[in-house]
Amino acid sequence: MMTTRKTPLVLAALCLGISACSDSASRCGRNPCGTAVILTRSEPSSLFPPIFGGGPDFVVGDQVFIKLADLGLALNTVGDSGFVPLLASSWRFENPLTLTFNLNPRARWHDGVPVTAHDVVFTFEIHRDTLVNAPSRPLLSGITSVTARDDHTVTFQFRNRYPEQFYDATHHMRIIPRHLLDSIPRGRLTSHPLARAPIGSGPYRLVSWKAGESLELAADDAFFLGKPGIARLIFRVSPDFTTSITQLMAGEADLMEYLGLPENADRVATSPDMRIFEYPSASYTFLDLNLRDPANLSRPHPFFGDRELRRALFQAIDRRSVVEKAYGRYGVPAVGPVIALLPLGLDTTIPQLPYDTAAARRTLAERGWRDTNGDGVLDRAGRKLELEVIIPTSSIPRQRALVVVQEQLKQVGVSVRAVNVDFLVMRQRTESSRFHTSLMTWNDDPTPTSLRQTYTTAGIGGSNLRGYSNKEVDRLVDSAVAEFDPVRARALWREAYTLINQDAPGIWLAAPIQFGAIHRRFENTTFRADQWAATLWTWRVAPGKAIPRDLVAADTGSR
Amino acid sequence: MIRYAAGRVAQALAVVLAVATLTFFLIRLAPGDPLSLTSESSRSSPEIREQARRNLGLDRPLHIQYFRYLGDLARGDLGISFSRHRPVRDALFETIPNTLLLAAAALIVDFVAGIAIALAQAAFPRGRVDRWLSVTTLTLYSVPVFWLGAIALIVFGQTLHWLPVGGMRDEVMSPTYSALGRMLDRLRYLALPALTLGLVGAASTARFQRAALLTALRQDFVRAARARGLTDRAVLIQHALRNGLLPTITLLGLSLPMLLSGAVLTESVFGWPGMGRLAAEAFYDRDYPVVTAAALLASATVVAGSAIADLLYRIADPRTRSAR
Repeated sequence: MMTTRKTPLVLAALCLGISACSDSASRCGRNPCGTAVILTRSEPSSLFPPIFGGGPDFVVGDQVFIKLADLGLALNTVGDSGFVPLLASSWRFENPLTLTFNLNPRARWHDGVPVTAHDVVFTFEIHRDTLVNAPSRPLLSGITSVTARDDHTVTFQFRNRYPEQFYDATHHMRIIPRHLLDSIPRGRLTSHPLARAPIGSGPYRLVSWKAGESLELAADDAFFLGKPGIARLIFRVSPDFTTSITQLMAGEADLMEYLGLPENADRVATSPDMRIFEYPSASYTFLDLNLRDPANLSRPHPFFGDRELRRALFQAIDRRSVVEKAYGRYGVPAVGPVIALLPLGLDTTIPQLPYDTAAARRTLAERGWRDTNGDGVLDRAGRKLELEVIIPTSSIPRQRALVVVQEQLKQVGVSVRAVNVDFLVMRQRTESSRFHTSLMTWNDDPTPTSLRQTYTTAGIGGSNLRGYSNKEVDRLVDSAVAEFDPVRARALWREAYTLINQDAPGIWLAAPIQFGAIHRRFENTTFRADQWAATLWTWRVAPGKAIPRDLVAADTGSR
Repeated sequence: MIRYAAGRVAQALAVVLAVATLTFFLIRLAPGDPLSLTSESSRSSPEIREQARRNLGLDRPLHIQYFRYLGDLARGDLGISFSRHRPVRDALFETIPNTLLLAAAALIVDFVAGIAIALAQAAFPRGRVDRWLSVTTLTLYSVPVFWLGAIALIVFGQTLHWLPVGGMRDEVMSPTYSALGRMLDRLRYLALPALTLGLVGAASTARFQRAALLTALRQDFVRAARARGLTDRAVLIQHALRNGLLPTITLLGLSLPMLLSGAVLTESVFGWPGMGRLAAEAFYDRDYPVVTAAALLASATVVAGSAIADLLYRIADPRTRSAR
């Protein structure tokens, strides 16, 4: 990376290598142009789309591979009006259970071979194959078959009619090349070298992947939907937050999707070249209360099996102050088990249990909890009201939130004991429901239907880790999932959230706001809340604002 | 000599196998499921996790997994990384040269600086120079390497713009560099992490070497050298240092594995794609094959380091050669 104090040798090498010592503004007037250095805390685990798991997989992978259609900025997952055509130029529902796509005949793989309907069929087969074991396999269970009518027409057959048929057909699958992958044994696909040197059909192609270091993508000039605005994307792996912030401040990087702590944003904001961007996050932070006894899941939890006690705990916590201490200005109190980027996610009219410590104390006393020995902690029948909260060591905002929660619950006589564990240990305990309380930050897809997995009876044994069950909530969620009218669906969801809030199976602490930093020279930057890099290929360097690294072409000979 | 060498090799293999076995079982006994997704979300379904367990053979009894592992190891197959979905051999071998480069550079800084500081101190024992250098080395020794690295990046990278902030190369401008340019570029990126890691080591080496030099300076052969009219400088370097280096040579062999473990933090702070960082991330992910292979390599490094130390000792001290 160039520093402002250049040595004569390096400067000579630059001037020999490139002719960028002349007028930079006019050089960057033509497309493609620009180099964006994007910091990422970890590299993708793989660039084989069916097994995409973590954030970097999607961020990088979605530049190389594309879907039949993708969500628009409004994130409307119901019906098909909220979707943008990509590989498919058009589609129609032939009947309620049959959806047919017409592929864009100009779509090509990066090796020049046309994208066909057979690639779509192959992609679906791979996603359903247990040897590949794609994480999205359960999400495709509503689709019974995918068939190719001809090279450019592909048909999806559904088991039932439901509002998110189009979403399921398009959102979970990035189309992969049959002509390159079909001959590879299915059990070896995920570890095949092509997973690290993929051929996609997206706006960017992979130039190089230096393990643990960086990935370089170059704009595909022949991309059928138009030339990408930025010529080169370099995803630089920088695991340490402090180092990453320092790189931004030193002008050595252009974008970091998440700055972590509000004080990092304050630091970056002092740089004249960088600006902070914000968008609602696809997560909510909450204290998850296990309604079942972790020692014996068939029994109710000795504390949280009591609905009134749960409600009292909820009322004892001033969620606004928790958000302020943990997230600063980058968070609001969560309105329920719903992510902020959904329409209901910021609906403060959804009834909440009020912050009321007097009511909390009264309720606890009515349930028989009193401080019989004067130690400041309530007890009942010889048992102290002490909560064990597991929390990952890796999350500073959650650590800060828990300190506030501990102090507030102490005021009403509830003792909180934090059990700091590493993240995978926490996951192991929560996934097996062997926990009392955990401080979770739950991530969800941009659809309210995931509530069925997390807070209905059907989700017990799956993602309903706390064993919450309410027949009326089940009915409302089933109705909302099946409701095509968005107004009626919203009312049903709202009613479901209201009932859940009244039952208080968790204490919804925060809906975080994602905040990152980007160099000011980029324009046309939009951030889709569920995937910030979804529109990356449309960004560009503003005319006249190019800097030296924008003028360097990709090293395409390195492949 | 051949019997000695064969004995050392057999010993080394036994140590490496013992470490691999211990690591194999210990990592699997550690809490945490390697098949959990790295985020809390409804995408992590029990069905997917159980299928993954079957696909990876993790549903088999532990002893069956172990024997299968030994069989693969005998064939040179280190397995497939759970988190990176690629052969462990490929993942490790890409990082080893990076760590060796950093470790070698740090080792050079460590010993050159450490010995130079020790010589300066031994030349003026208990004088002002000696006292100031003692304070400096103690301070450096006490400073956590990750903190020193972060400060170095802020000062030399962000504020002064003298050196780059992390990474191993300028991936942005490298397409324009010649071979010489790329080499110089690599040295620029190596400077801060090598200095950080090396200077902390140098502090320890300096204190150790200072003590060894002062002991050597009190020996009869030094008095005899002075009596023959040699200058203080000649006495210090040609006589005291040669003899005082022997314990430091032992330290050299042991430093290599210590540098590799210290490199974990340095590699993370500086974004250096080395084996230490890979192993740390693999442990965090419970990536059993990578952790086991990294332990295997680390133990091999310790054994090799110890052998190198023995060899250098024999070269440096003629008495050890004739005794055998």
